[in-house]
Amino acid sequence: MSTVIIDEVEMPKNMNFFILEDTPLFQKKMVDSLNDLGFSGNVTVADNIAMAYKKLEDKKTHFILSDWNLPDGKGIDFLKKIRADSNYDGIPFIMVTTMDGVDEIIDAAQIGADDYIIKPWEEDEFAKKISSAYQKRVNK
Amino acid sequence: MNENFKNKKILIVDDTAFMRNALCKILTELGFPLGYIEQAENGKVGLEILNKTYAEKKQPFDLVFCDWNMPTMTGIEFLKAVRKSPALFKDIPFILVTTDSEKEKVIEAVKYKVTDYIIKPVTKESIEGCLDAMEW
Repeated sequence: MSTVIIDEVEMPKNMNFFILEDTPLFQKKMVDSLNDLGFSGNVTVADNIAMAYKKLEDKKTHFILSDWNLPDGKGIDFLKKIRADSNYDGIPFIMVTTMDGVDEIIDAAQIGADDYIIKPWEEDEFAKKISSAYQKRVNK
Repeated sequence: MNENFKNKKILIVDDTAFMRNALCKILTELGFPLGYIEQAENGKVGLEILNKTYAEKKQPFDLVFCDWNMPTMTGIEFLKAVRKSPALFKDIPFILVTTDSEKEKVIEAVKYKVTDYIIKPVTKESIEGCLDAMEW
């Protein structure tokens, strides 16, 4: 199995990432950041929560990145749904937010968010958070 | 708000800053003063903080919350190091924070007198449950 190694954490290259983000610029930046890390581009993107629910059923998802502020709700609403669904047990979930949302986002830890990334991110920080969330949830 | 909490000193050990800050927020909401809560990003730093506090004769810590899965000195390694320490903090109450899939491994920590464990996500209710069990 081909792998991507970040900070000594080994992750499958063909992992399916799911991105919930309404801004095309950040959708593209997230996809680019994942591709730059060496993942093979298996990324599903949804613009809003309603679309995310539909698209999640299309393909097995291994890792979720979700914006905090979305046109039809908050990222925490999507997180609650994921954590309540046994189909997604143990899946890493990272919130993505602007600096303004940090105080609010801390409560998402009580629902089961693994970490958060602040926009616009540095690539090193992005890589570290992806590998750490994966290591804690999956690669024990 | 529990009056017993206001002089208790807590050490949080977790390599994810988000998790440390989330736990810190819960503890302050329960009545633990922010100034009495310290954070460490791994067991090694946690041990340094405990040793320094002891060496400088500062108010000792009353409780440790520690993540199980950390890259530099895991939770169980840190627990072992604390329990083997000759210092006065070797019997400090110690709560491991773990994931549901790791909980079977926590039995190993019983050998080293772990006080309790909490399964992530850590919530205000789970912390309260732990503190109640400790009769704080």
